Amino acid sequence: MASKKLSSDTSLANSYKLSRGVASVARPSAPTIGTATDGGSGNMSVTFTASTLGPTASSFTLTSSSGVTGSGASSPLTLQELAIGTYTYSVYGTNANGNGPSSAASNSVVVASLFAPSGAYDSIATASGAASTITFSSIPATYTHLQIRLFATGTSGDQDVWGRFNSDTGSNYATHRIYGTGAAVAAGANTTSTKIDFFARSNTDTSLAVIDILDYANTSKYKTSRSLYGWDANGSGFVMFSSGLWQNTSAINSITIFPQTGSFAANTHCALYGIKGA
Amino acid sequence: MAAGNTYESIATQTLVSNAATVTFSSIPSTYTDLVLVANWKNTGIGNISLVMRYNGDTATNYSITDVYGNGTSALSARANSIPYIYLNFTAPATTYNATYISNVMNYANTTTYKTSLNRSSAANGGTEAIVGLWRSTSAITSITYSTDDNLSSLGAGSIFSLYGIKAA
Repeated sequence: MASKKLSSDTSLANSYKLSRGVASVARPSAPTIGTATDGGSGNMSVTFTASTLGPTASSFTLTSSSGVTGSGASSPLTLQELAIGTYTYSVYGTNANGNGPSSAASNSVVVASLFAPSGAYDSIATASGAASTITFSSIPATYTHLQIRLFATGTSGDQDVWGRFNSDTGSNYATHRIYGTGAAVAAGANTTSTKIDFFARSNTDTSLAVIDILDYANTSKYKTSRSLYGWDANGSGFVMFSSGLWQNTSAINSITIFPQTGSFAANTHCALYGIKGA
Repeated sequence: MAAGNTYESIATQTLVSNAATVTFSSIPSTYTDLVLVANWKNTGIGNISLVMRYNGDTATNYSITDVYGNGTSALSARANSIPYIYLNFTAPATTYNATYISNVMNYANTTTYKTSLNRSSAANGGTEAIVGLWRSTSAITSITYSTDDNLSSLGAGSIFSLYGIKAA
């Protein structure tokens, strides 16, 4: 309550100063709130109209009822919500004398999804077309995790797709997996291997794989990966989970992906993405 | 290396009443992959499956292969020439919510059949991965969710979200 009274008193003082011709020491009046909308995944945009009374604001601050704030010089202002919920928004202006009073609250907005906040998932590089090897090099260390999305066909029938980190050809890799063929389920492992086996078979049908490499840039622990892979050909198919290990504490700065034999075919597309932590 | 934010929300539908279908239509072809996230609330009819179709195709142009575990056993199964992609096949949902994530890669190309990688988790049913095939070279422009009982079994409170991923 004390803060509300102070805000009210300040507003009255501003009005008094304006009427007395001392606007140079006054703060901006409250803006008129407009409409709050969710551009997707809690990426909020809020419109407002600056007051034409009193001194001009040099910047405006958007405040969510969640506590998240954003700022800018003009309408609309944006911010990224960090949790699912229902929120309202208000705006206040700022000049050299300080912050003005806040606008009224906006309409309520339901943020139903925060699966991928804007800026959290970046495309780093892609490789497409026929090739015997796909290499992503000079991978920046600025992300938290990496994700590889592979859409592959091959030239030599069913075969595994392997990978190496930082061109390491030593026996430093291990893989464990569980898979289903449509008729049976089985599990297996490759240990003390010279490559990590993503088990994404680049057969003549289209294979998909989503491979996550977690905490790839740290320098204090071995690197691990997980993959989900599958293909189906209406009569045959294969779907699999696998985990991979690289027994090395170096940050991963390059990844090489290659079929067991032959090459990737022309329709192949592989993309590397970086995922940022909060 | 090119860089930039490429994971975008395209649309979300939250059901306020029970429905037979949920459709994402007019999907732009400007992305590389699609990701669908669903939290399905069953209306209480037990042992049914959430299914997915593309471009309104109701012919038997789909097939799936799955691997499944329920805490005590694991198995794999297949269904060929079926009228939709099962998103939970061996693990039918009952009265609990179930969650789904589907990866539909290279969905806009007009050269290859379309393949998806799907994960489902039903708290009372187990966990499952399904690879699904649609034998069509058409670009995917719409995706429809329904259930295999053909009733209004998409319960109020169910949420379906569509995301697009762009490659560099």
